[in-house]
Amino acid sequence: MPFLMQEELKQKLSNNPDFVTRTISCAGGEVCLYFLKSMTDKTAISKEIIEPILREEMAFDFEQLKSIICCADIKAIKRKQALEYVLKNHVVIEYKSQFLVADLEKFPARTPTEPPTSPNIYGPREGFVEALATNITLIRRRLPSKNLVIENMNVGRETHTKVSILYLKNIADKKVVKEIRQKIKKIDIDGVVDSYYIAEFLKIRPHSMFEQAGYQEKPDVTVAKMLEGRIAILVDGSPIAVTVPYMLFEDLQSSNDYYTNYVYVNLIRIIRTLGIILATIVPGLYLSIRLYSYSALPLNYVIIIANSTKNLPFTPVVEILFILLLFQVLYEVSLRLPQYLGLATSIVGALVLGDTGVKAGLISPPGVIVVAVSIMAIYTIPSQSAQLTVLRAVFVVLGATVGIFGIVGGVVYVINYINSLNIYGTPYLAPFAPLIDSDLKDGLSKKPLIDMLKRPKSIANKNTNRQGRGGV
Amino acid sequence: MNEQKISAHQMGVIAGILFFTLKMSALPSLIYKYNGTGAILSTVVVILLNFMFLWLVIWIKKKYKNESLYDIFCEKLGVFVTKLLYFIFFAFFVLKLLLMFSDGFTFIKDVADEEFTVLNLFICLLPVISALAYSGMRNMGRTAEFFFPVIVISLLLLIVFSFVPVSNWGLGSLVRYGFEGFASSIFRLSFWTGDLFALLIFLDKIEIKKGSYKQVFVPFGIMAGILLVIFTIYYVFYQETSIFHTNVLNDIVQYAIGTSGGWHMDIFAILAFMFNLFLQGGIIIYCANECLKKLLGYEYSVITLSFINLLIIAIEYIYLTDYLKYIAFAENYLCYFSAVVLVLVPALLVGIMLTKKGKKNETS
Repeated sequence: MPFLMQEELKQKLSNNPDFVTRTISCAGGEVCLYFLKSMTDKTAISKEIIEPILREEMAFDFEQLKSIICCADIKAIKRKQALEYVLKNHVVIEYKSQFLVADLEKFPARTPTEPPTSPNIYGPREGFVEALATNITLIRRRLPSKNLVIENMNVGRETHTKVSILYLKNIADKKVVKEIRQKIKKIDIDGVVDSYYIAEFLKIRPHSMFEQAGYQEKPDVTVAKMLEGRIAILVDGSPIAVTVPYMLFEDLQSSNDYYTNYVYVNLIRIIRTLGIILATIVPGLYLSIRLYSYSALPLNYVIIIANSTKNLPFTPVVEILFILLLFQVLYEVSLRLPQYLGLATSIVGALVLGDTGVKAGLISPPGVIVVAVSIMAIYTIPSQSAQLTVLRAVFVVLGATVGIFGIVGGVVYVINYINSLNIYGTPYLAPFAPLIDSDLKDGLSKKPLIDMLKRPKSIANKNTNRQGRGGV
Repeated sequence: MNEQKISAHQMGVIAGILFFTLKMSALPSLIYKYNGTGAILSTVVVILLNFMFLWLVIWIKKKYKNESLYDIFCEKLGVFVTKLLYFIFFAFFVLKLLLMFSDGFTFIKDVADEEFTVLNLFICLLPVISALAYSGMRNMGRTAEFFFPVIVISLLLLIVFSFVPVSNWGLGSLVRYGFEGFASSIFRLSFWTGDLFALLIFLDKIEIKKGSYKQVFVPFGIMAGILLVIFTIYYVFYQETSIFHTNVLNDIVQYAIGTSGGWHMDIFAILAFMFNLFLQGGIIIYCANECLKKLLGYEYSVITLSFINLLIIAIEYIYLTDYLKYIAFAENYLCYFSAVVLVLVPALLVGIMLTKKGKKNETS
């Protein structure tokens, strides 16, 4: 008996070797299975589909076939949907010109491990993996709530990437959910290979260099964000969840903060804030003081700097730019080389080049210290390292040309620009500008969890109450 | 909050910044000339008067919920008179900008960078304050709110470090120069630049809710308090020679450095003054731009802002080098100009309100 889709599917899939058609003769006649062998569980196909069909001794019709197959997730589809489901890694079953699909997807996947950039001292260590289903499981396990909504859609003309929007319907703001859903639906691109692609399309200001979405590697952090009213977006093939709305001070928070004593956290957050200042402003400020405002330093320091820099062949600007370039090259090299080589390169760069450069009189110790401090400080907030690197370069230019006044002007301009960013109704610098007193409980300082009775006002949400007084 | 409006707290912060910045240069010397150490008493009175002015602005705002000053004047005084008034306001804000540029230039040259040039000032200050004005009141309000703690902490640190070397707190009589001196000092201090008048220009951009008085008064009170303490320290440091100084903030810093083992805490004063300068510049150029836009009937800020930039560059290039000329101008002319504007406009608004009330009573 000829099967309706056998030839058509083969042709449409260009006779790819991983596309399998399997015909089974049984008591009811002939059944044909279509699937991609690289993306489905062959053992399950044998046990849950082929074996039960072959075991059936009586003739059966299409409706009876549904109950013969032992697969948990099975449904009838139309003929024109067959290709779509084959590409979605389902097994399509054709019987008497009608179609069933069984979800027996299986492909090689990592097991959840601790993400490299978000290690925890205490607290959960699981991180997202590349498989969307696993990621949803990781979230569902922490949020077994009837209010958890998971909306699935496919994005990408060629990749048909599965994208899931997750939110708590009793907390997340409807308008924000609607806006995000519409933006994702409107995406018309050939392929989506990572969640960053989706985040790019969710940007309110596409050309701004500042991040406009949070990137989470851990399910516990993602769930905490969803509990504050944010929406999470998971993309198949990406171990990163995108969360929106987003504000800058999220980057000053770490998951460790919520599993550690709050007094210590207050201190650490101040250090992270200082880290931003050190990372962006210090090289520019050093230049401006050396070039224009020596008098701003105590005399002893002026003497030390003057002694260390007196025989340098370069001007202060060239010296700082040279050291910055050197460190940036080393950083890029250490990122791209295998781990053991990267370590060796770092040692060569930091110790040999730095130390030898100073001894040779090419660069000065204060210059090396200033740049090294600035480079290290960037990693107090690794998620904004790209932005801070660019800003540092801008402030170096301003400090070298206009001095301290230029740096202050640059800071005012950047903050004013950042203030113009409103990410889905959330001001970028909230809760500091505009000042939202109640949200300061988890801002630059952090109060104990029992004091955080309300959800953040900065993020639009339906339900402001976070906890009752029962825990106090 | 409405997209384009500023909160009551932001209004308080802006009022504090407007009140503080331009009083840190030659003004304390000037009022010392009129009232000696009694200038401290004058400052207290002026702070109270400014609190009253703030209260008046909030009261007016509550009466005219969404109307701008221009709309109110147009309705009651007609378009011609309103445009004439707006021309005066525009001139007033341009003069304030000029004074601010001179103050800023002198301060930076004295304190931060001896080689600082007028070109540096233009390259840095004009684009940034124009960008602030272009971004609108809401952004500026947020930016001012963001920097407010930085400014306050910097000034408090300066005050703490300045207190250390003080050995003699004797100030002498606070009423040495009689009523005339007292009144003259209050007049100069109140109308030196007519600071809070700017609030009326963006009256429609302020959002006042219940409990707003506290939100406005607290940040303004902090800045006013800091100003009073700095004035006091200055008079204590310099006693009878207080009359000779043209840059108070700088001179307090110099005194503190001289007696604190060479530790340069002036970086705090430098940062606080520079942040204030940019923020105040943004607010003043915004007001000048609003006046010019209303005057010409333009909606597009780029043209009007460019015109103001060119005007400032042209005037400053001719006069900037002579700072003392500016001080004399502010003392002898700008003061009276400010007085007229600062008294006339609220008086007109209150008058309009009263006639409005009368008419309502008639119709009812």
